[in-house]
Amino acid sequence: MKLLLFIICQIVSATSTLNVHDKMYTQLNAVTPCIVRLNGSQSFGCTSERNGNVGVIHIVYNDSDWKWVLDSERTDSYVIVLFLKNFTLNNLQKLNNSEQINGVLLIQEESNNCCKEFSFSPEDVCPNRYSGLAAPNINKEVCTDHEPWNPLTDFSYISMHKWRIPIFFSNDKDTIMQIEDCFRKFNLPLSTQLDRALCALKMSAHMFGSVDSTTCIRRSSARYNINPVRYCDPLGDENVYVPIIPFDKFKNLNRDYVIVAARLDSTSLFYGLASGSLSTATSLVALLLTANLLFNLTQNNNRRHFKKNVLFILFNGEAYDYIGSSRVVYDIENGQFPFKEKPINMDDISLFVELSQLRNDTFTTYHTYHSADKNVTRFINIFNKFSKMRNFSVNLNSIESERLPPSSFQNFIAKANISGFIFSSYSRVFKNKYYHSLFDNNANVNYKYLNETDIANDTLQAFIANFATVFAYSLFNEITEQDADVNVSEIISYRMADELLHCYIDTTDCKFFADTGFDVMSLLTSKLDYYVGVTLVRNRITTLTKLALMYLTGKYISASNRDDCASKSNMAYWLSGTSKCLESAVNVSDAVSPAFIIPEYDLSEGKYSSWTESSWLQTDIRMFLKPSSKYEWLVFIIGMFVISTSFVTLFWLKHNARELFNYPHLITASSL
Amino acid sequence: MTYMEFFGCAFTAFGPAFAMFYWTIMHDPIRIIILIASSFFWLCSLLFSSSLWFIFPNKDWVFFGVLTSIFFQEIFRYLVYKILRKSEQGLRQVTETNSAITTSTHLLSYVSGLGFGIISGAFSLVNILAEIKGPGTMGLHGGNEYFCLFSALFTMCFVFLHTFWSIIFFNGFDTHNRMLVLYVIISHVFVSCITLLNRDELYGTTVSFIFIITIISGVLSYRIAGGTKKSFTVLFQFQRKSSVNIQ
Repeated sequence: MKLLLFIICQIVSATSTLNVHDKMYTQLNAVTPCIVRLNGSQSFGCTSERNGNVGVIHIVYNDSDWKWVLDSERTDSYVIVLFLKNFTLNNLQKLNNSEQINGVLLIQEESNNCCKEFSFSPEDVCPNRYSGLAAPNINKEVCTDHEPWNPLTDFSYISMHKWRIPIFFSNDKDTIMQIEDCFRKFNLPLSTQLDRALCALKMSAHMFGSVDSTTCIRRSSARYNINPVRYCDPLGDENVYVPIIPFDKFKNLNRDYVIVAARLDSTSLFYGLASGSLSTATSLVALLLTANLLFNLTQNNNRRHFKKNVLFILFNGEAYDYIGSSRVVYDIENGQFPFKEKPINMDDISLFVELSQLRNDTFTTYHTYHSADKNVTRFINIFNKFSKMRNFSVNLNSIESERLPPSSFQNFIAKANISGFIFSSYSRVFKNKYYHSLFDNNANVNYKYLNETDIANDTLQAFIANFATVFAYSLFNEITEQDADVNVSEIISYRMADELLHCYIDTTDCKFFADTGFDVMSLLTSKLDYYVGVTLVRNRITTLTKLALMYLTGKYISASNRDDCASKSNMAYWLSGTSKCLESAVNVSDAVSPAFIIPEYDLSEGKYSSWTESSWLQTDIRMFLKPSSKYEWLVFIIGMFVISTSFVTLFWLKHNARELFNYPHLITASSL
Repeated sequence: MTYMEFFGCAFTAFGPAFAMFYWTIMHDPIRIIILIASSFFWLCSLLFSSSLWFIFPNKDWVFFGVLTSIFFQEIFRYLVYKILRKSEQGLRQVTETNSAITTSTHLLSYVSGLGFGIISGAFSLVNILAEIKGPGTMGLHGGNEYFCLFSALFTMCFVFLHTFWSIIFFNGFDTHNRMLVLYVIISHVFVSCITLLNRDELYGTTVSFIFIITIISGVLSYRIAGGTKKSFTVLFQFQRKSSVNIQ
């Protein structure tokens, strides 16, 4: 009776439960795929099968787990879950060659000392190996495997391979826990896996682009493809630049320019995780701060004194064969930069200074191509003078070599004999252990946001602020050619450097971007990604940097509303956040490789960057239980038994229906 | 590989229905028409009950949803009965004089009952079949590994049950025997409610209950269709005799 009551209670109180699909599958959201990118000759990256790759989870914790992956004879397909220490090129190649491995998932929880012992740079040891000075039409040797810029490690070249299997990454605590729990609960012990349903993953990251950019663009063109499907899109974005004196107000006869350049992009093996703290952010912030101080210094001076103009440029897409700088050089050669009406020539560039991977190290090196000429020497002397004046103990170290580091400068020096140099923290080889990888984060540059508390002299903030101050005064001296204003009163504060670094290293949801007064709230999410992306989409970081540069090199003019502001100047912008009108000479130029704008250009030629990014429909991972073959056979045999028994029984019933149901004799068996 | 699970479940659930269709329905167009028509009526009942469920305020009370669904199914079973009886005259004109469909009233109820069973079975299992063709199986978030097999067994039973219920139900109205109609409704409610226990994974209990009800209904409809214990035993004796004769 009690049982009956219990049953009735259960029935009446029954509530609707999850549907079947939700009970079978778990979507793992916090995962990032490695995608396919293509250049003129081949494709790189990872792809899954069209319908995804299925494999039983196997987590490699130690050497015996790893041995089990490669040695034991198994019938199932596996997805191997690795920690960073096992994610080496050698291991990946072994997995890639094994028929039974269907995917790789790298898991590494976010913690500051997770990866100190490793140098994880999946990039080539010679970044941009076939471009810049090494482009086929110039063919200078700037980097070799014996003497690489990016030191060779166990992880080198991972980005430079085409993998048969999908590779995903997760640093999400919950996701990692879910996977580990499922593995322990269902897949251990390994010896009895045949008898059980096993925890498995389905990785979907099918990339449409294949072979190379030429093939993939041809396939996407309407002539060969009725569907409006694009298999790949060119990489590119916008270069951001600002002249310290607006182009139309710079009327000096010589029209000499000093170009100060840095890069605006970085990259990573995994999509959307390009955190280029040292590769990009520090130099970028130093450039922004220098531009800010130099602008302030020039405001109080009569512009007639200026012999030269300074052009600050942030090149985009530099990680992919210098897309931005090669385009600017191309535009300059065609008389179209910055605009047709007032073009800059190569001869107008009197000095080119590039900032690359700046960090508060003992030495800061300036690299020149061959020997330093008098322009460079003079500038360095001035820089040294101001740094002494500021008590900024920077030890400048000179490298004069044919072996120029990977830099935008290479594209300029390849076209004309321009005097210039590259400021960097490294000398013979990168000091960045995580060049172009997702671990190039705040820990890599020893940065900690101090949020208006006291900032010590030996911090990154202090270094960048001091560097920008000294650099700005040196540039001021360079363009005015006068030693005036040596009292160095106006400086970049440590606090300001701290705020900017926080925006560019930790999160874009930061005080400085919000304070600019632009309507940027929609752009302020915490995700920081320096990957250049495809030309069709504007990067958030580019937009934010453009606005930041406007704010730093603009001045307020009086205006009552948006229309009034627009009528005052063609360089005026209305700040809806603060209701002010800002006049700034900041502008952008296309960072699209000339390869995609020159008609009939052969992408395999290699003269210009021909990088494209494959398109894809979806990338995700689902976790589920894969039935054991024993169970599948059981169900199948039951099904076959039921259907054959019913056929036999029904035949028998029909045959004997008359006797069974006592039918009248006029009904024959055949009519039943 | 996972298609094996799919076919195993599909054969278990619809194997008997397919065999019945193959041996007893397929050769006669009239029967096919009646089968399809009664499936249509079941679909109408589904439409009504789901519309009501849609406006039902408290979706947690699955029990009441089940009751409304049964109510509409039985209403439409009655409608099928009414229409078939009304069209009997017409059927007689379009069929051959000797056809069993016109001479045996139970054949009409059998065919329409099978129509009910097939379509309700299809609707209860098709979602699950669609899911198990994929790479996964039940069990990640709890759930029994044999969930799909049990679902297939339930479906198989429901195909049988609907067939038997129709025979009993129609006969109840023909002979004005209210007890038979009441039996159909009560056993329908009972069986449907028992399946709600599946939530607690009491598959063994529910399957045995449903098997028992199916067998009882089967025996009842066998009796109604004219079968007796004697005819059943006689048949086996007859067979034994004939096999002796052949020797």
